[in-house]
Amino acid sequence: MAFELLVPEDEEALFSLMEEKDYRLLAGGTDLYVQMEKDLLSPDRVIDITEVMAEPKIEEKKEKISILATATFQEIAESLLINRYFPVLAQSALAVGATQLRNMATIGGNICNASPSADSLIALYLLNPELVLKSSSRERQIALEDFITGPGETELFRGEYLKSLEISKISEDFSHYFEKVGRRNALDISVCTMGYILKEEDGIIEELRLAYGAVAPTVIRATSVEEYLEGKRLNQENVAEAKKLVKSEISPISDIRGSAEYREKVAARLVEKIGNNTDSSQ
Amino acid sequence: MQLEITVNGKHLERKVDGDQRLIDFLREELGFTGVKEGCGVGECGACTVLIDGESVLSCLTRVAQVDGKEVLTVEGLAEGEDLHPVQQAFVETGGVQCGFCTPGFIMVAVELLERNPDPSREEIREWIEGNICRCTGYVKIVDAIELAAERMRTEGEKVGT
Ligand SMILES: Cc1cc2nc3c(=O)[nH]c(=O)nc-3n(C[C@H](O)[C@H](O)[C@H](O)COP(=O)(O)OP(=O)(O)OC[C@H]3O[C@@H](n4cnc5c(N)ncnc54)[C@H](O)[C@@H]3O)c2cc1C
Ligand code: FES
Ligand code: FES
Repeated sequence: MAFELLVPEDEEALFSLMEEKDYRLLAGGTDLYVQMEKDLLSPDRVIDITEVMAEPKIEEKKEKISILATATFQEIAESLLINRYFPVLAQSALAVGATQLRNMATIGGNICNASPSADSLIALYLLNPELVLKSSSRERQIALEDFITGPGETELFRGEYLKSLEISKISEDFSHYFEKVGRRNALDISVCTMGYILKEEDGIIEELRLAYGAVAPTVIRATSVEEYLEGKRLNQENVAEAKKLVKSEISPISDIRGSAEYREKVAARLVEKIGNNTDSSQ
Repeated sequence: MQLEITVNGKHLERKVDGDQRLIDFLREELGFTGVKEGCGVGECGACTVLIDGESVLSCLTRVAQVDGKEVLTVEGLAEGEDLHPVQQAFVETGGVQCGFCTPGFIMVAVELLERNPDPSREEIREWIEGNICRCTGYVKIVDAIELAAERMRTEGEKVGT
């Protein structure tokens, strides 16, 4: 079906185009166009936001790294800043398998599409970014976990767009890990994704942040596992208990990629990866 | 809208519907039928073209998005009678069987060799992960890209335009 595709060159033009009723914002189009192709959406007006944001996409600001919403996964995967401060984010960007998709797909699109198996969201749930949302009348900041409210659902208001994300630097003592089980394609989800960042001191876990994707309506932090393992060693007994706790955190569904039971097994098994692979970026 | 675009080195100005898919514009309006449509939803890579040197899927791109940009399709690679080294290598190694997927692989390979003149087989495999071939089993495609890389390094040829 035909629609009006507009490419504003500055923010003012963008905001005035967003005053019209039925619009959708467009970044890489790798979710939006597929959803339109499959008749899940049919906006009258599509507004490309990529020209509005031409600044450096990834920037170091004292204690923070700022990433524009239109940064592509290829740009993130190759960024020296991201590889230095947030290896898990670079790894999750590379997990988007196809080169062409990495060139097109943006981190802002991944966030706003809010899929339970969005790869970058695993890393972002570990890193707690503040999202900068802008409308013609105001700019506000919201924590990622508050922004995403359900599968495909966010706190984005009409007339607003996601401008950037600000991530506070974390200690370089953390080891980073990301793993995706099962490929995904346009509309499916993967079997299970998992990522963590971990700080250990003499074999004792000082801090653990653990996130799972594709096994709940949104990406989740497995906080009960984090709390249980902190201050402990990764021995057999503790890992076994952590596996039980993971099962209580998730609520997987069955689809063509895997049954709920299979997803639960995979999620539990992935607990064994904690600590084993102190730096998967090497 | 009035579109200004460079396709295969040629500057064009056209009146177009901004929401037309780039693949349809290239095939139907300009006759570049080397751009193939396999799935139409981002899953096969057959429609890959380079925009400002980066591989993108022309089935998930609309013409208004490429206004002012440079598009390269497989038709723009050869120089006169001389095939591009990547094309030549595909022909020689048997990386082409039915040929439907070939332009997509060639375009993404051209981008790879532009960025990394000496990729390992593993790196080649990873780079072409978004392209599907139903005939060759991929080994000959990787062979072809490896061969092209080797020749381009030794001959110091320039990739792309
Ligand atoms: C074949 C295929 C394979 C895929 N594989 C993966 C994969 O392995 N992992 C993965 O995580 N994803 C995957 N995806 C999904 C998709 O590529 C990602 O979700 C991507 O990050 C979306 O970004 P985009 O820029 O293309 O978004 P778009 O499609 O442009 O937009 C997505 C949604 O977000 C909104 N939006 C975009 N940017 C903004 C903004 N700045 N402010 C407000 N709203 C905005 C749009 O209105 C739209 O609703 C795949 C898709 C396809 C087609
Ligand atoms: S036709 Fe574009 S990816 Fe298949
Ligand atoms: S040669 Fe036939 S699909 Fe690849």
